[in-house]
Amino acid sequence: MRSWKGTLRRGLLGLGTWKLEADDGRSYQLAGKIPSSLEGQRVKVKGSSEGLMGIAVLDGVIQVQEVQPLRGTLGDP
Amino acid sequence: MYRALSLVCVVVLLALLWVLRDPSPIQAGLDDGVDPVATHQAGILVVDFLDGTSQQDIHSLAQRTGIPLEYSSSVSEDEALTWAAVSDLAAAVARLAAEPSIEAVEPAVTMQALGFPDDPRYDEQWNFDMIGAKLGWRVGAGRGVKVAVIDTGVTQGPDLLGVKVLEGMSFVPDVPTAQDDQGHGTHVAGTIAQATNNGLGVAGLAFNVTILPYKVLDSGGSGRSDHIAAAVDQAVDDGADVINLSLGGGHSDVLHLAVERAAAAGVIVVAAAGNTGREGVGCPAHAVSVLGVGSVGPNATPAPYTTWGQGVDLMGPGGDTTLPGGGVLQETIAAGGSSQIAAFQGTSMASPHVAGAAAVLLGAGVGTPDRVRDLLLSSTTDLGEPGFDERTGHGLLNLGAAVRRLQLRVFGPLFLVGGLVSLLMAGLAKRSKGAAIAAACTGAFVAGGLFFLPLLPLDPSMAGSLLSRGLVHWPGALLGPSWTHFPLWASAALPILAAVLLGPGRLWPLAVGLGAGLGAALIHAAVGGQIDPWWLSGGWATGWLAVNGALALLAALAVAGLQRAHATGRMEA
Repeated sequence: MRSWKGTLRRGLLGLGTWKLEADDGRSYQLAGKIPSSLEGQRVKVKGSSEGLMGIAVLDGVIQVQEVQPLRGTLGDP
Repeated sequence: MYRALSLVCVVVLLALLWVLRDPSPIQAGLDDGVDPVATHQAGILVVDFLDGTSQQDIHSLAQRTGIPLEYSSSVSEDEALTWAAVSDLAAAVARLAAEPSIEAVEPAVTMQALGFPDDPRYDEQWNFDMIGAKLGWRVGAGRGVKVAVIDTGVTQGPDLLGVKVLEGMSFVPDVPTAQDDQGHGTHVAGTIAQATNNGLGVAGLAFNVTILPYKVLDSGGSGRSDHIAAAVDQAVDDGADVINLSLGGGHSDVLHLAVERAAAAGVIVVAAAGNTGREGVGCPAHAVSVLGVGSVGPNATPAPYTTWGQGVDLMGPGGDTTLPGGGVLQETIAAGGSSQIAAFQGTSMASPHVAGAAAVLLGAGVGTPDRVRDLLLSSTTDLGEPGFDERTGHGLLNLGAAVRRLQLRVFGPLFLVGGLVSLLMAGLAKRSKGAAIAAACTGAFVAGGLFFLPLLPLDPSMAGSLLSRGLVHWPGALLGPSWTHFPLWASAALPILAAVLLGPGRLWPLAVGLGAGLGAALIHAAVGGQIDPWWLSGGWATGWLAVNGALALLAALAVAGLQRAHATGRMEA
């Protein structure tokens, strides 16, 4: 399991997909349940990204195990 | 006699065109179950009073009901035909229907201008006008071509009924069928093959194709790359001509190998370039043999989200919903599974435009996948820096230009060569000028068809797509492109038969034209690799076409020689 930090956005297609704009400059489609209340917030996402693809056609797909909102400025845990 | 025959040929052709001009590419049969209110002008009511109803009666009814009735035109007073703008159509109809002085009351129906296609929301599909779809449809809409949609599945809503959608297969664990439970795959399939000219909803680009749905992405829109690779292999096994992959993310060697295998097997593979808005195209679009498709909005400039860089081969209309009416409209499924027409954006939407265009060209007699690919990439509208560039590849998909190029550079020259060779051979017979002209017309038509037909502003029709190509491609137009490769059709059998049956008689110019025209077409196919006769590979296919082309020419020559002998014999007698 890996973790990523970034900002949570609604997917481009408006089909209920979620996108993580990660701090590493990449963007990921998120698979799994994401609370709507976290839209636009900075989060830490734990999960795995091996061997997955999706309709958002981003840099990868993360199968989400856990999402935690981050407080404070960019780079905080 | 022969001059009259030529005239009759032309008249019959024109009559055929006229009779078959009604565009009915698909029989959707959607009359039942379509809500008529959907096509009504909102709030306009038409009320027809019994003839003789006075202006005063109408005025008092208007006051009593609060419905502001007015005469529909200056001449409608005699007919007592009125209209009114109301806030609730259903309530107003119910209120007025009970009035004894009223003959009929109904919401005003918007009459569509005659023309193809008659799908009521076609005028919102800027994406199809942008790529010259109307010109493309004049050569057909991919009849007999199989397009695999490897996605979230496909659900056949009302505007996909009548389109051939096979059962397909699901690769998602615990999901038994290829029905869509997400919406993405159905929208993608709609761009490729939405039921068109059925008076309902929106149009699709290659509406006569057969859709093969493979469900590889779950209801959340993601799935395993090994499942996607397995679906690509399955699509090849199932005889897909084109594969659309509106998916991606990251890298997968397994999927990369699968798409390369598919391309090597002669399948045109098209994939979405990505929606990161940055450089760096991922798998599967970045594979060399895959057509990677970036996205433009309705202003024909790259959409802000489109991924660019190595792997982008061309651009397609994928939409930009930040602009009014800027999304790509197709039927899809809403939450709960009901059908709806929705505007989406993304390279996922751009990719099926290229897949659909490839299917139209395959169905139009372009021939091999390599030629389709070359034609697509060489007829794009250049964007960005002149020529190929990493942001927009070869430029914006232009199906209209591709068809124009096909007709003018392939079928046009064949028309001229077929006509000329036939004229020369008929000249050898030393008979009348009329006979030579009849042979030339037949040869030109057999070799290149009425190649100019799609360039005229006519509505698409089966007859138009048939007549706009050479005889050797007719089975392709009727049954699907693989039938163009039927060896006995792509042979000298027909010219030899015509030479035997018609050669000695009055219709000999037809036999000369058929032999010379088909001979020219077969030799052209042998040189250009346009036809791959079944069961024959490489050199054998070329040999088959060349030998049969030569035999067809010899059959024509034999007829001309026979007629010359007749003429000489008669003169001596």
